[in-house]
Amino acid sequence: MVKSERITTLVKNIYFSLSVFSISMFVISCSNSETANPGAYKSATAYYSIRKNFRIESSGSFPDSLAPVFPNPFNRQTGDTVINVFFSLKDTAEVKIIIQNPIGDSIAVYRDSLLPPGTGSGAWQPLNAAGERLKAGLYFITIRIAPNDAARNYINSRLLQIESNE
Amino acid sequence: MIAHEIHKRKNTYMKLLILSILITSLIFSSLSAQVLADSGKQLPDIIFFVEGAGFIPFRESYRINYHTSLAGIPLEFAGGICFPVNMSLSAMFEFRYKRRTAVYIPDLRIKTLEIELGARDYLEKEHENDLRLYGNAGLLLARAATTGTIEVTGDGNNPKTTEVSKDYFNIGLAVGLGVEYPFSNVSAMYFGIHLGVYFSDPIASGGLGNIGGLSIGLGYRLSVW
Repeated sequence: MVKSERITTLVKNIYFSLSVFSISMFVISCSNSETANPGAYKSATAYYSIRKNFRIESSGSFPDSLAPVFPNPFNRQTGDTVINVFFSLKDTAEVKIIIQNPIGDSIAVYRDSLLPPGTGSGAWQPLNAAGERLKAGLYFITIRIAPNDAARNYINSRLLQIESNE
Repeated sequence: MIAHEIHKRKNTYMKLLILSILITSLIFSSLSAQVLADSGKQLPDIIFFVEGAGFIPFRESYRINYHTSLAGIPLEFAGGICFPVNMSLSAMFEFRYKRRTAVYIPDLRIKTLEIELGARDYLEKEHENDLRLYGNAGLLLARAATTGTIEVTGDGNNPKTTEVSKDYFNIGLAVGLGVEYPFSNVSAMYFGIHLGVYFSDPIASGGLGNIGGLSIGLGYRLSVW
């Protein structure tokens, strides 16, 4: 076998091995994507309906809302340790507050409970579901109120920037 | 319990992966010997190519939350150069650019520039005025620039909006398959499928995860001697 044919054979082997490897990687990543993110926000329709359900104003003294989170941007170098979240409910409802990456995948679930009407607040340490510090980047804090009530079903997102890793 | 199941499943996949690599290598090492070099023709010095493609991400969240929009057209743009090694095989440098905008919140977009370093190979011999099958594989390097608008506030009062951006870097692997139709010795048109998988920027650590997908495109190739 001449040298060029041997090189060709070698490259072909590498090529097809890489092909199989990539496809296998794809299968692995697809099969593990749900289990690797226990807080995954699975409702596809919710993503589509955010815009039309973007209802900032509502009746009552406590409208369903999510206030701007702060400090934003969040910077550990300047001493920031927690992100403050304020929201209000006009009526008793299931409330889910999740943290998403820019793609829309859930990184962490901050609150998932039935709450009475009124205002709510809390401090969230920017950690992922495994308890590790979130790296610098862009994230969404999304509130979803009364997901099973089509008449109410409020959802709102605030973009958060984490500026540094340390 | 769940971790144990994931671990078990990963082990099974890894075994299947290794087995499939071995089998495929054996099969194609024998097949590849059947491809003959087309002697008697002069190799081009360089081959340029450009391509427009539709993009379908593998990840559901990336697929439903974003749509591709390059100047209002739902296409990604690709191009590159090939350096022929012989009549069948070429070393390849390719870039792919796509701009995806979020559908679930205004003013959020991800501009991805992918660079692929790899090889492109014809999987069958050349026949005059006939389609010719080719494949390619390579290493992917990607930079995904995410741009959005945040409400800047230190205490929650009087927020001001400003545009912020963050670059995410990723490494992956790509394979492609297509058919080429020659117009002449110099130029050809091709239709190809390109599959990219990324794995170095996991979601759990704040990354974008696998931003790869399937691209189905139409391109034009030009050989230069």
